[in-house]
Amino acid sequence: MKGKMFLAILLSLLLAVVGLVGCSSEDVSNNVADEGLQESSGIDREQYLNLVLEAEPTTLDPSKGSDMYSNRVLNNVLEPLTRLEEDENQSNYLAAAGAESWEHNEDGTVWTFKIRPNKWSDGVPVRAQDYEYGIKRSVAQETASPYAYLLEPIKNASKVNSGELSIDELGVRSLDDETLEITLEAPTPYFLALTYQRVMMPQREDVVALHGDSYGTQIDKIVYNGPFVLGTWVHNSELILNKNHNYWDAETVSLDNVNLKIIQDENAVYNSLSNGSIDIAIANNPDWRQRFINNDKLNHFEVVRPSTFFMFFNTRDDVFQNVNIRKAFSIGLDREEMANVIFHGVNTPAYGWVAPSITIGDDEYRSLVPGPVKRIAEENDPKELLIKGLQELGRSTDPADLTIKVTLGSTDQWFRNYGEYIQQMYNRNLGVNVEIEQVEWPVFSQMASRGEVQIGYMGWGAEFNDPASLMSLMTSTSTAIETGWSDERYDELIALAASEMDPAKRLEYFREAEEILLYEASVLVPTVHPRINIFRYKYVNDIGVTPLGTSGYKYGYTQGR
Amino acid sequence: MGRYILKRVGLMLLTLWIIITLTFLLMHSIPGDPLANMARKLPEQIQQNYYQRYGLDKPVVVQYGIFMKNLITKGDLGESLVYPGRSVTETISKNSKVSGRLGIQALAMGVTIGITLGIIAALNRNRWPDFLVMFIAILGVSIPLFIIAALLQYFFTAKLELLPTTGWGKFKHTILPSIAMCFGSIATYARYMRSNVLEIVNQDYILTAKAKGVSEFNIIRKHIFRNAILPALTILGPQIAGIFTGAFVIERIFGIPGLGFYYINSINDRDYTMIIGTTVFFASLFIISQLVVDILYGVVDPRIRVSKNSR
Amino acid sequence: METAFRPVAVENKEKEVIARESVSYWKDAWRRLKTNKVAIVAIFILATIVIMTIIGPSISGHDYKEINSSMINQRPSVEHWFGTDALGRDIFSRVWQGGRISMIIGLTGALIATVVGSIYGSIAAYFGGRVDTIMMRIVEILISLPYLILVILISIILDSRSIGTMLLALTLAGWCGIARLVRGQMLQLKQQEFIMAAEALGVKPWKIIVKHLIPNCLGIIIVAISFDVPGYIFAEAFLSYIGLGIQPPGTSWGALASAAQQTFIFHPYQLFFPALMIGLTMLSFTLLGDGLRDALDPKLRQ
Repeated sequence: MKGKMFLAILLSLLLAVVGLVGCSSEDVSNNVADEGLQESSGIDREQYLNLVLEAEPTTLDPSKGSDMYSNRVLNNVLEPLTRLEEDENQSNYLAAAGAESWEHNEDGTVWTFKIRPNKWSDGVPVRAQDYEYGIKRSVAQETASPYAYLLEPIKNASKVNSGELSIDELGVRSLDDETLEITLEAPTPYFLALTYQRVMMPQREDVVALHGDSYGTQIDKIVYNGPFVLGTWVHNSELILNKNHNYWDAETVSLDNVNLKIIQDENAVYNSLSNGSIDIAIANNPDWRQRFINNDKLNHFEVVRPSTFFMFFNTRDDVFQNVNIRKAFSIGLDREEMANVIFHGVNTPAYGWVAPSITIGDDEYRSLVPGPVKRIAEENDPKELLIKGLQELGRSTDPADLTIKVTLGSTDQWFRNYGEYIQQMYNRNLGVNVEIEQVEWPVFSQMASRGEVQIGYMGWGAEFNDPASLMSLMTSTSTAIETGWSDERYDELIALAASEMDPAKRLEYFREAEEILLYEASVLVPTVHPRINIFRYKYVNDIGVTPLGTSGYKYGYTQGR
Repeated sequence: MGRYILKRVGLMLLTLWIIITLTFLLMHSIPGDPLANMARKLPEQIQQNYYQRYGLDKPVVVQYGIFMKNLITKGDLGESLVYPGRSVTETISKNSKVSGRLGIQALAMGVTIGITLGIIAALNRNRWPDFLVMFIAILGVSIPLFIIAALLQYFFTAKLELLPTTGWGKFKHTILPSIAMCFGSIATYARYMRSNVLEIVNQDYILTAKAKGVSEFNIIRKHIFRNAILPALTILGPQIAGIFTGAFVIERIFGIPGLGFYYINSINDRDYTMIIGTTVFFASLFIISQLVVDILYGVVDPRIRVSKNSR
Repeated sequence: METAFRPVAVENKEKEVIARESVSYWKDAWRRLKTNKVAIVAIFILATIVIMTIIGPSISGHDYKEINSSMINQRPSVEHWFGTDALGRDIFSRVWQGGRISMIIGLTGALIATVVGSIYGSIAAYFGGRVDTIMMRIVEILISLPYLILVILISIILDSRSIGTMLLALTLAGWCGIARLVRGQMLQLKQQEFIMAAEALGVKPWKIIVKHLIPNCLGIIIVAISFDVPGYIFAEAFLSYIGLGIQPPGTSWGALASAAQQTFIFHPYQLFFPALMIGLTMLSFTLLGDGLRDALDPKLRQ
């Protein structure tokens, strides 16, 4: 993964809510029974996996921490109410897990979960109260959970989090040991997708009280109720997961041990995959990718990530207040060449804001609406647009007199290449001088919010499977991407789409909004949509590859290692 | 001597205090904090709760006061801002053991090889073994560590599959990192030993011994080695402090859970308390090892003691 | 009257003439350095590298920044002597352009550190007493701070990653070593008669430092510079590796090497050339430093 921003994208993906899947509920839970050990005859006697974690998990306290690495471990050692599992076509569906079944009242504001009989690793039965406590602890002000805001749809959550109301006022209660009731502020179509997030995972009040602040920092300072328990955790080095024999679905779990090695250096990861000391790795480096594709012991999965890499203009800037100049810079890039040179053909050129694989109704949005940026490029010459814009601003019309700065939010080698490439592209296609500034991510976000960035580079992943997840980031109330741009009609369209149930109408709203954003105002410069390359030894089976899935290693097994 | 040591310890504490204060203030003047480091902008309320939880909402002076109070009364450097619930003091003590073990192993290897090579070179002055040895010693430090480490890792783990690529815990994990790390001390010691031995071989007592027919081996063992090794050991002090700081690159490439690895990460993550804690640890280590070396010098060489007191 | 011996006719004024041409300290040192073949080879290599960093980027006919998407990762050839990198840029031009930056950082860094360090060290040594104690305490504090922190702090506070910033960051604590060295040497010199004589004649302190003390330390200072230059080149490479190196499109040997390190098994030549240059430079400076030390060391004077 390339630096903080890519991590950022993945983080957001982990938050993802697959909206449409989330709507179909109870009937899906039966699918679980079909999974599991069908080929039990041919599987290896010794069941273990060696995997890589790219960084140390911050904490296994579900209420604290927000990194994808601890999420990955938590999905395996705790049992959330539901899991987002993966079918053989690598599409995700919601499955029952800690909750056997659930139902909601007519308007969808009260949800009742039936908690499945299960045991904690110390033998204590899992009760609805444990889930209740987990949610309450995440929302409580003094916990200072970074992801507490995800639980906003729950009744009174915001007020409890700000300390206005006491924790007892939160809309979560257990009716008895196996019934959990959650009351929402208003109907929330994506609520089920929250039920597999870490902030809703079960916690034991007595264990938390016993360990206090150090809860979740070491293997003996947490209890487990997921498919695995944590056997070893050497900080910054290795975690070993062992099968949890107390787990309700223990017979489905084949793996006895999963070793998670913490390796940050990309080359070390590739070397480890080459010599078989790890079984699965992501390899986006073109040379290594090719080598692994040629390796017939490895399976290759190319997985689409519903996200867009883009540059944004500060529309309050002296130069980029002008729309023609913005357009010139948007089409001053050859996206095809860029996808090949910088992204080695792994990623696809982006001409629209909404990422591929995001659907509206039953259709992929991008296949219905071609990216608007392409039309700007077809209708105009970038240099002419630039000169026109410079004239409108009353500046020198010689592009060589213009120097602009592109700021990148990472100091890593890949970004350096990217910056050098952009510099050359704009110089060649527009004749302007470009300065590249590489800063660390926290500095970047601070600079952006102060309006100190002329052109910034970012990536953003969809949080849920709907064009709104990306489109709503650009409304005038959102501060996610600091462009200083706002448009009344745009805001109106996004609001209309949020309350509209007819996919055809929503499609039209989004089409018009995207047209305003990219064609008329040209506020963003989408560059590419990313894909990831996962390589897995062929003896590994049933380990999910989707970026969103949370089934972890529960169903994994090896055959013919 | 006692007064001298007391005075030096006093000065050491003063230096440490200045370093702590400087780091603390500098750290808080850098833009960005652990929350700003997160990918997405968190809602205002969430940020407030977080600042409150870690006391970051208080004025810097107050934070400084609390920090110093905890440090002096409890030896407590605070809680990590990125790894909730982990005490900085504990993290340092755990990770420094790893760095320490690796560093000492690499240093022991480097010193032994370096001293041997240095003696060989000196005894063959201006002949081919001398040139060869010195060339190898210098070559080892002429190529950046990240290249040496990457090459070693590729050939021994991916190509020959002899050793584990990354990891920590067993002896085999320490072999490649130690080799990569010991080049520095080999070069230092080989060069230092060579010039020491060269000085000694021309001394009268060596000539006397030779004249009396002492065998060459005994001359090397009894006279040259003993007299050359003592000054060589005095440069160990700063090298020991370097053990902990020198391993950033190695720990990253070989995935070793040492302090250097943690340090770079905590800088990237803006984990204030970790950064301050680690800086203070490195600085004290350095200062203490200097003090020890100075005192040892005083014990070994009376002339230095006198001149120090006269200052 | 015949005698076996007869006085040669010597004119009175010739009696005071020194028969052999006087050999100054520097001449003597140069004479001895010339006999050291290793040092001469090192000087020759360094001179070649320096000349190439000046003319190298413009002789291959490819600009070091020029991206060519049809020539990605090409092996060395007649067209591209050192091959091309991941963006199709000419490595030959890039190596010398990078060398320019690395050399500038190395030489200027060492020079700044030496000048600052020498002046600082001499002042401390000359005045002694409390001044000395306070000044040396400051040095101690500066070198106890891990230098990574200093570099990061400075590049963030100054909000840039230009050569100037990097030099400032690297030298901020880098002069301390030389300051200590010079101070030690000065303390010895201070006791000597010619300084006392100068003091007795009422020469001002700064004049004593500049005219008498520093020239007498030049030997060790020059040796220190030649050992320091590779240190700065190395430090720059390290910073590039952890992502704090020079800002694009600028490049350096360290930046080139760390970029190539990830894929060296596929494109070894991309790593080889910058690594070779770093290695040669380091080796040459170290060997030259050794030669200079031998040549300038009065104890070894015949």
